[in-house]
Amino acid sequence: MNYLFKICIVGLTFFLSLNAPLMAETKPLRIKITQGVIKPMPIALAQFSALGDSSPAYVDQITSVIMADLVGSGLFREIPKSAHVSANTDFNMPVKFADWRVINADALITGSVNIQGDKLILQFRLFDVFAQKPLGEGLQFQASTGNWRRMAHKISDAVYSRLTGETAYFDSKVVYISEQGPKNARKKRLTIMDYDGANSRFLTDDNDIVLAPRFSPNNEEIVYTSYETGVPKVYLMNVDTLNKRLLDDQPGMTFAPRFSPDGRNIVMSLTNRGNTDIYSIVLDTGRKTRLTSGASIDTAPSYSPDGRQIVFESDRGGRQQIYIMSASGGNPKRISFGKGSYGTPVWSPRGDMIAFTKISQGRFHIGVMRTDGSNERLLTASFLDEGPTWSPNGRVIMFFRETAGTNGVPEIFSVDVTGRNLKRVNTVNHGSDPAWSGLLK
Amino acid sequence: MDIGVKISGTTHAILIGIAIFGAPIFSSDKENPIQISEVSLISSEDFAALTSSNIPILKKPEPVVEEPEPVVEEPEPVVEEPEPVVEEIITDSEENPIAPISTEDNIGELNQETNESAPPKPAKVISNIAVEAPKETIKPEMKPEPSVVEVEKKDEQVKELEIKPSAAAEESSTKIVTEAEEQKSELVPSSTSKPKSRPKNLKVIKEIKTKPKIKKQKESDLIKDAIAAEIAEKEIKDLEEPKKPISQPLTKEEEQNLVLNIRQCWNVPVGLENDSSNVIIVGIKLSIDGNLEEDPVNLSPNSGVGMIQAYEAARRAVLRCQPYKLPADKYETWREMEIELDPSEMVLR
Repeated sequence: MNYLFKICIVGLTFFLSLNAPLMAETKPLRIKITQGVIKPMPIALAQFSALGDSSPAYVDQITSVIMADLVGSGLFREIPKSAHVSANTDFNMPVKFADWRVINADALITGSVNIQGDKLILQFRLFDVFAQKPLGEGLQFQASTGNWRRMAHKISDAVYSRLTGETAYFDSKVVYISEQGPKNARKKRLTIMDYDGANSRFLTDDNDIVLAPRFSPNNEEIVYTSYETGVPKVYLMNVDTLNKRLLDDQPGMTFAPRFSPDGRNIVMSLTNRGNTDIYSIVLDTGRKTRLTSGASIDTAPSYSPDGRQIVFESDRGGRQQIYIMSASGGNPKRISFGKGSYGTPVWSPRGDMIAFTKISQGRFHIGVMRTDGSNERLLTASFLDEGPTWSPNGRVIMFFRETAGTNGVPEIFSVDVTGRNLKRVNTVNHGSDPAWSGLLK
Repeated sequence: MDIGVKISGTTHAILIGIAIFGAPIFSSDKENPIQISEVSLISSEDFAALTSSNIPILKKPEPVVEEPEPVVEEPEPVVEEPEPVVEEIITDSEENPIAPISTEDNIGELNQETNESAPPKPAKVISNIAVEAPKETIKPEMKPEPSVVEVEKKDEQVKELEIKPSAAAEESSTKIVTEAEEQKSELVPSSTSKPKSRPKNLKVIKEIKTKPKIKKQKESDLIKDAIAAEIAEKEIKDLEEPKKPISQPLTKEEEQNLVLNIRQCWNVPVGLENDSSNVIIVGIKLSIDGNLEEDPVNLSPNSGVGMIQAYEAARRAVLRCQPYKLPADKYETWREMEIELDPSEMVLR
């Protein structure tokens, strides 16, 4: 038993000796800050080193894409090169933080561009100037020189993620309807481009009207509506091969398609005998399931990120409103109750919000609300704003805005989910119906 | 003895279990999975070609960082890190030739630690040591020894009353209790010679004779004694510790000025505004001139998404705000501060 006593006593002694100093300490002064500033973070992009066959002009192209991404997000502010004290031309030289601190840079990006034949190697590092520490790992991207823009976007993504803690959206695509010609005889073509408008490529000719394209979860396919047969029908197209197929050849109009998060199903509207309901189709088998019923027009379905629910618009209550139902149909629950009409709901990739179009007092708005309909916020207002689509990180919404009058044209815009940073997106022609892809891999 | 062995065995098993299963969980680095997912994919030829021109440059920072070595030895491991990292990247790229960008694209991780050897680090450590030095000089001034001696003497006197042999007093405080208990049982018969006629002593003898009961009492008594001894020891330690000079608290105005100052420096990270899960508490130590003595410490118990960025923003805020203009006569009050940065009340517009 003595052994037991010893264990108890030694244990007790050890425990008390550990806690004694803690208990003896006095608490330091505590200051609580509940307000700060929200302003673009000042960042400096040091002159990248040009290695191998790369020229300074080539380096400038790359760095300008990086800075355009970051500044374009509205979250960062560039400190112009003319203000730089330190050139930092050698990528591997230690950073003179004092030189960057004096120009009030919060973060510093250094890098190098190395061309070897047709191979491009990009390296970069990110630093916290005030803490005088690197932020995360340095990264190297290697690809053919033709992919330089994507590599620059990758660097922007890495910087954005590291500084905000959120996933980014720069290395992504947007598919939209390119529009040309007078309003009453508009030529519409399915077009794909980088998120910033670069690298545009037509996917269809202008013979048929096309509408509402949407990306598959793996970004390899697009589902869209086409009047190829005279009536609107949903088609599935491979982005690389441009091979397409009619999704459902049964009578009736099909439109407003969208992929399920797992890419196995497509949910869409089908109008038959004057009644519009929502259906889901299993891509592998073609099996079709009706999800809504009744005399109302149910359309614009969009899955929740977990695939369990669908948000859609319906006029079953007498006016267009937003409803949520189970992914298998049934139990629709109205979530929009504000004045006016609501349509084109899209579930955020984060799952916490729903973007929508609202028509109120003769004006169109793009807005967001929580999935229970609370905390509705209108982000835009114009003659015609419509068709919101979320960035891959759920931080930005792209939509199209059409100007009034017979000469009115649609343009694609983007806005931060807070309502800040509204700006036009460059497109080849005029653009409408944008759909954002997920982050590319 | 069986119970003791069982308890001992169980305790050891739990401790070993925690060591095996618990340690990796608690010590896991959250950043590692991200790093692994974006590990280098550069080919060995490319990397050799790339690094061949860089190697001499990489070596440049070393002598710069080694300068402070005679003063502070700590930075050395930091400086040595970059080289092995470079080697690891090469192996990763060779073993894992995934092409995330396209069929021709590769993503890789750099040996970014090379720049961690930037000169400012050792400079900071040096300043810490210089500041810590006064603490040692303060201790002798307080002279807590007399009070300790007095208490110890009291203990010894008490023990002498209870236990005749004074030799036990030489032992350390915790062991005195245990050994005293053993000596008690041995010494009781000899102590019965004089006070035999006294009923109190007889009681003691009776109690000692009933061995099992005595032992039970001893268990509880010993634990009590141990606790009492620990408390006494703690009190002694408290007396030994140099008392900080009493400093006046900051006035409301002074505190408000401090809050306003930090507000201006705190650029709330995007996505964290209006988010109560990202409340950050940073601990700072200031020198008398209002500058930070060392890096702000993250004291926040939270570990949600964005906490790293929240801490980094908080760190930038307190670094940017220095030097803090606070009354020097209240230095002891603001020498160490905990700053809680709570973005939950910032309205998302």
